[in-house]
Amino acid sequence: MTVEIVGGILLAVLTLYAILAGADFGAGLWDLLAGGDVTGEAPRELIDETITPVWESNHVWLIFALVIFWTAFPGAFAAVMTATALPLWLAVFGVVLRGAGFAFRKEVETLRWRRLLGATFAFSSLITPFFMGTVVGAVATGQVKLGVQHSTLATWTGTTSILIGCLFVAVCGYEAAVFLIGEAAGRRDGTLERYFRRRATIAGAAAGALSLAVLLTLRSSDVMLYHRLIGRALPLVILAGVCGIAVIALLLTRRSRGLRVLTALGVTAVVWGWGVAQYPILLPGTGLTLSAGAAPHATLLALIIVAIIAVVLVAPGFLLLFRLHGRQLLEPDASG
Amino acid sequence: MEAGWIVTEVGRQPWVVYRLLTTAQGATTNGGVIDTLTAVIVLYAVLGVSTVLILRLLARRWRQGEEDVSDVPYGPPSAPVAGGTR
Repeated sequence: MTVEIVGGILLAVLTLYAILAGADFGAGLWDLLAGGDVTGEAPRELIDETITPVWESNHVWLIFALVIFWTAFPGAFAAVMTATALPLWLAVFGVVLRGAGFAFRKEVETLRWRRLLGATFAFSSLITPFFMGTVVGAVATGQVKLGVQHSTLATWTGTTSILIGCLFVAVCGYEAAVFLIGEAAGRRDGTLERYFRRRATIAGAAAGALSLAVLLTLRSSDVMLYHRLIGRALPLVILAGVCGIAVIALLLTRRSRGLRVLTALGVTAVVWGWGVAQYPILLPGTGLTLSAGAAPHATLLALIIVAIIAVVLVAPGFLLLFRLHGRQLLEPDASG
Repeated sequence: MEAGWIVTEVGRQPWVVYRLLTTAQGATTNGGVIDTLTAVIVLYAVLGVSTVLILRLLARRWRQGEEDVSDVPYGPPSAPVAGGTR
């Protein structure tokens, strides 16, 4: 039971990361695609104002996830880190450069440097989720073997892995656009609201199509996971699909109520669908189960206690941050 | 604090986890360790230098009593100077 609780905590943290940091990466993606200086000015300003207060804190969940993963499942962690070293390195560089580019670009004076640093931020926002997706793809398709000695390109460049990488990018863009619709609406900016509504619809449709493509390729790349996704995890898969269709319908009929909740719920259903489909296997293709790959009981118990304390410490700060952010009290104009 | 950290890490050698795992056992079996180390050193050297330069730039601007350059990260050069994104 303990190991299931730890697995659940890990999935919950991954869900938070997928929603919060996903929207964050997606905002960078829309910055990248906003066009030239003049056409991109308005959307870039909204993106910048929206993510400035939250972009650092959203990445707390990645640290949580990594610490839980290596403490609770050290063998699988070592295998993943070894087998997919290259995409993980590229994702790490992306995370570092993204933060640096974002923080620095506002402080430099010449447009040339601003563009360079801004492009660093925006391009990193594109590659980081892509490479993270390929790692998840490598795990899901059973390419990560226990006790692996060397990383190979083939581990994470299978069709399913590449598609999951693209899916991650599309989902990030989708989440960000949905959040930005709300931000634009809060500022009574109809033009930007329509702008992000259009982008949310396109990214949502792309994410839906890529999800289906991933599901279909799993038939040949990991038949067990495929059967579980359309078997045991089917309710969650359906929930994800229904949420996606509902969001697209809301977008097309220009409604905003429930847009964010449904988007978050859809992403949650995908993450938990994967978890439920894989359970009790930790690394597909190896037969390693959650309990067989877990750390000793005492470690898991300590981890659960630490996780609870961490949430108690972090949650009030996050709630306050999101509350202030929601009321737009963190913007320079409001704070003076 | 940094020095204390170094003493702890060096003093524990050859163990990563005392009496359980040696550094050699804990090291990656992948090749390219020197390459990734070089990449990390170069990246952080660039970031370190940039940080110093940008802090100096901020200090100079602050001494001159300027607020901020523009609202938008890399908006059009003609953007009016108002407000400021901190």
